[in-house]
Amino acid sequence: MTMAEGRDVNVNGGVGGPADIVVEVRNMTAGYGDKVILRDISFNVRRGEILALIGGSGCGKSTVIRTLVGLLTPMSGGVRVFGQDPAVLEEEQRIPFLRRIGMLFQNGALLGSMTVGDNIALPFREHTSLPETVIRRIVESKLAMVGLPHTAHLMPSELSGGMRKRASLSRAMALDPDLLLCDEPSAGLDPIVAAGIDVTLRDLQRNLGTTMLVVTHELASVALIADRVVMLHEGHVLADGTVEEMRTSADARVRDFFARTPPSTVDAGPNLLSLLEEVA
Amino acid sequence: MPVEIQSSEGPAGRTLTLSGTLDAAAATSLLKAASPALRKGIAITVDLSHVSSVDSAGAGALAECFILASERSARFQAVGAGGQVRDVLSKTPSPPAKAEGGRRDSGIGAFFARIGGSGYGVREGSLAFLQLLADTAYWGLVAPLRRRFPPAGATSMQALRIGADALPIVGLISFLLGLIMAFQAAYQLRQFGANIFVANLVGVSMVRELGPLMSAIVVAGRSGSAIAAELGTMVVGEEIDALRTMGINEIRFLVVPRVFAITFTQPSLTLFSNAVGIFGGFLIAVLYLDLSAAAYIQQTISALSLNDLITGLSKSIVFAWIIVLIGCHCGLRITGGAEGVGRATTTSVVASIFFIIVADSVFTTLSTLL
Repeated sequence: MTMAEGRDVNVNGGVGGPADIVVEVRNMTAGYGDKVILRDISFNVRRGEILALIGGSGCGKSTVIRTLVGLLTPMSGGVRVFGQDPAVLEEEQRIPFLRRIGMLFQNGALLGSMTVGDNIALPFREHTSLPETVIRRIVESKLAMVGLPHTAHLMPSELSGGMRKRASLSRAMALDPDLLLCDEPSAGLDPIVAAGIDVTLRDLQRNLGTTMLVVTHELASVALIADRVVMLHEGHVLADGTVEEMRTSADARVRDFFARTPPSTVDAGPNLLSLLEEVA
Repeated sequence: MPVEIQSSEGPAGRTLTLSGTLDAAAATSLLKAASPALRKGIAITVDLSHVSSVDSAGAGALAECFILASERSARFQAVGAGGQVRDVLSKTPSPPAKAEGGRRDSGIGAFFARIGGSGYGVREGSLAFLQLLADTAYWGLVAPLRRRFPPAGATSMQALRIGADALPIVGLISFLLGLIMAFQAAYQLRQFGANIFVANLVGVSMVRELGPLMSAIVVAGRSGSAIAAELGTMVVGEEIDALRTMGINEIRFLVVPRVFAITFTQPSLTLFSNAVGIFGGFLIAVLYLDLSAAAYIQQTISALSLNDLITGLSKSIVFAWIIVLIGCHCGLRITGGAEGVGRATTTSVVASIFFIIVADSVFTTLSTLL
């Protein structure tokens, strides 16, 4: 099966009733302090699809992810993940809820005081009563899955940026979550390593059926992995559709994003020369 | 080629003829030559026809002169710009009519606003500290009853780092403190032939006051700062967020092991400090004051009561909690990046030493009055 076919299968199979909606963001407004970052946004993530959340820097992509795991409470409106509102979960409900979600942070966010292996073993040690030997075997296989065999004994500081991100991906996938949230999985990596991460995400989705919400602004990643794209612009949802629909969108801002059109240089008004040469 | 500035006076004001390269170094000379006249409101025309090239510093100097002139309603004009100079200047946006540069608040209103702001800051910080205290109490006392324990091995690891690793420095400081106290006491007591009371003075002050205080100050400097820096770095690196998204409470995972560890290590360090300090006094008494070893030990034992020891150790536990909670509070509430970590570290040490001394004075006052 080629990659394109994989995408088609998911698009066709992903559309369904409410039960097929894993993440529902409805009329959400969110921000930090007095600063509103997202204004009244709505979109869904369907079961088994990879949704790319794109948009320029600082448009609130990461903020969306933070609300989905309850790190940030929306100011109004709300999110439902697996039909639950992460902002109002009780402590006992929170852990089973979070076990179903894996999150890949922008900088990896591996715990610097633990080895890579301990980092990945952490969810098992905290949330299961598996014997240590089994945990160690799982960790080794999880690391192999992301192409980092025999690195369990290393400290995160001994890894390169790309390796750290893959180790972090392996930690996010440790408990085989139903939903994986990725914050800029390939930002700041060279094209080969970035493509490697994209392919890993694609494979995970195909093999395990994991639903993914990937925040990115790498067009190459979007084209490779996304079943569907939601584009944010200045805190609003600007477009929602497949990559093809985005490229041929009626909205010039969406087309420009996909065509990498540089911003038109605005006339800066009078220049220094004209001022200096102005005759009084 | 360095710039040359020639000045000539004409009917329309002063003319500065520049030649050479108008770069950063030249810009300074231009400003120096032009600004006194501009401040006096004298019109200036610069002739740029002999300037071979200009960079952004040069353009900045011209813009600065123009602004100076317009503030005094004087005229600042440039003529003869050609070639590269013309290109650069026509691509430089004109300076804003008025220097904007961030509205700076001043005056009485701003003064009260600042006081109010820091008041709110204190209130917010105190509320967060109380929240931390409550969370720590819950995860340290209540949650273990519900079989939610801090991670295995974390407490003993923290105990090693906060307690065992501090033994050498606490020992050394206490030993020297014992020596100093014995010398100082002997200097006075000798006049009355009461050398033996050195034992009382060293023993009681070590056990009641200096043992708990010195070990707390050393630990605040060593471990309080380390806790703040470590947790602060974890906040900056999104590690705390990562823990939360894994369903791991950061208080249980990070704060409680440290609180448990220091609750045991601080009294132990204090006991150690007491013993070493008394030993320091003992050495001076025996070697320098010619007291007999047996008499000194006997005198120390009779001078100390169990009450002294209990007071000292309960103080040390309170100091320990001050150190660890302030360290965690500063670390977890960090804002900004590396600079924020530095600030949190400094604040944690200063604040914990301050509150240790405050707590100590409360203790001493209460135990003296009651």
